[in-house]
Amino acid sequence: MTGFLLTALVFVGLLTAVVRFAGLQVRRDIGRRKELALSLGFVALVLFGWWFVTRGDYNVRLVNSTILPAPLEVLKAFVPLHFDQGLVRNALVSVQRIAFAFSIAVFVAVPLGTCRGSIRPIAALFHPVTLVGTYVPTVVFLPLSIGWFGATEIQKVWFLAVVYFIAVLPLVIKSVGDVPSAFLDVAVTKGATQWQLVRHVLFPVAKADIWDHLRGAFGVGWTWIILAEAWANAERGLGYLLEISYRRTRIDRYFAVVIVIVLIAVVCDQLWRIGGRLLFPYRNRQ
Amino acid sequence: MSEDPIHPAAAGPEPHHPAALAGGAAPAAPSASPTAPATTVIGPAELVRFTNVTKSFGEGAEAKVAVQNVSFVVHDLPNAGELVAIVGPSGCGKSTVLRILAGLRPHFPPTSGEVHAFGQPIAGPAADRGMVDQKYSLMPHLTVQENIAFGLKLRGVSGKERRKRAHVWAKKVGLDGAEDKYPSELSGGMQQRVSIAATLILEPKILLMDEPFGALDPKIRMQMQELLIALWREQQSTVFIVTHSMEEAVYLGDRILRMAARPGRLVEELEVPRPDVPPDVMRKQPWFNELTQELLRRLETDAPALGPLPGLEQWRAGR
Repeated sequence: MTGFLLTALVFVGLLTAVVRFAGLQVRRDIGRRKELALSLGFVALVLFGWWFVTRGDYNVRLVNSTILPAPLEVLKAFVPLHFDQGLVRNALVSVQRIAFAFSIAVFVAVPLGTCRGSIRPIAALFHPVTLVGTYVPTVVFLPLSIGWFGATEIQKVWFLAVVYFIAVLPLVIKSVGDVPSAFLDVAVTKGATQWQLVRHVLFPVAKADIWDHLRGAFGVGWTWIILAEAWANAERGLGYLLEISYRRTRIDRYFAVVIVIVLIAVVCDQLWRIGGRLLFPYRNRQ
Repeated sequence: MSEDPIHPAAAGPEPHHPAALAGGAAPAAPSASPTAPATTVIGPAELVRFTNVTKSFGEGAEAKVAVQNVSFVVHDLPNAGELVAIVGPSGCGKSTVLRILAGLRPHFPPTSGEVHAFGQPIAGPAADRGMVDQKYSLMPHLTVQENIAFGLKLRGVSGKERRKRAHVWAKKVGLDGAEDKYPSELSGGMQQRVSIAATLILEPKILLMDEPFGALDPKIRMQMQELLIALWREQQSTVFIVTHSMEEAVYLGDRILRMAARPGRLVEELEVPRPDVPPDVMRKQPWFNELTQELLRRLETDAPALGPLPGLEQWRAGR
């Protein structure tokens, strides 16, 4: 405990010193190139630290190789992962499950959330759903899903879809609810019907915001797919690869799979970003 | 026309008198022409009538009175709309009056009193009373052209027809060439041009404007006032404009409704010169300052009704 406090204190002190002596200013732009250099510098620092604590032979390392493998070992682990354990095939399975579950959740949550954000009686009717979503820990649905469907494909997709639904619904409601009512005022004085208010004002104005929320929620799904696949004795998927690597104490492969997951997540996030730019061109033209 | 025998009967009694509404017109209708629609019965010359309109929010001791006993009549002048400016200190209920007229909640319906438009009680918002707000009037996801045609889309007008008519209106407000831009790419003045076009394309008989030029700098503001006057002449609709600027009220208005706060109420109706000249020209007239100063003085002191503004005689003499 004292150790932690001391570390925190030193960290804050260092940060203050850096800001003070480098003359850094709040929200002052430093240019893209410098920002990129600083980010890359940090990655290099971490890699260097990783290499430093895992260098040398197995028995003279600073950190035991069963806890942390060397960078090169992780890189080498990709070979057996690809040729013997079907890394690409397993990754595709996980991506497929996520995409499928996410589509189902969005398909239900976006129309429902839009209605809920627009029409008070419907909001009141479905209010308990949000309450459950907010306060029931999502993990409880995992054993439930296995109980209902067994360790099947349906079970995994169902579980993921429920988790996504619970995450996405309140965000959609908030986005629609945040649309200023002045938009509605202008539309009704142009003769809009109630349905047109939802169809031509509330949803279209909120949709870019909803997209951003979906992008954030989609990323969180990776946490849950691993859980679903590792817990439920899956035979395929990245979670299965993680589980099997861990059990066989192939910690190098374990790390390699983690890297794959992060890479896929980053690529997906970029796709979301590009999709947003294409779908909502009015946002990036200022 | 079958309306001819009714017309003199309905318009005969003093129109400012509330009794004209119920007593003068109603019995005449069935006898003269059973097929005539109800709208032509109650004073066709009356465009808007507020009768003892009070609006308060909340109940009991907590109730907050927004406006109290507001009564006024605006007539439907043949081939010319009126420009009615509503002025008053903050919290006097200017916007409340405007929003009640628009039929917008939560200000509509009033707690007590009656509101008529076109001789009929107002039931809610409709396209015959178009509204231009200070901001948020434009859909961010639609281009200038789509925004102008938004009301037509709501009416189910075909895409080709919409583009054609939107183009005509873009030209009228000086936005041809910018039709494919999004509102976020436009300056405040240009955004308001789009708002005005998007409202007037539906040809509302009444145009309601809530501080439409409040966020614009003075030069752009004058341009917009001039544009508004030009469009108003062409459309012959009646314009209600809520404003904080005395110059704007005196320049734009035919008539000014001066309100006071605590409680929000209508104090007096004032006649002001018609905007027959560009705003910068009117501003240089000798009587212009006198008018605006006096109006401002009355506003700041919440003065009771003091009668016609000084300077009007000079204006009349100069015409």
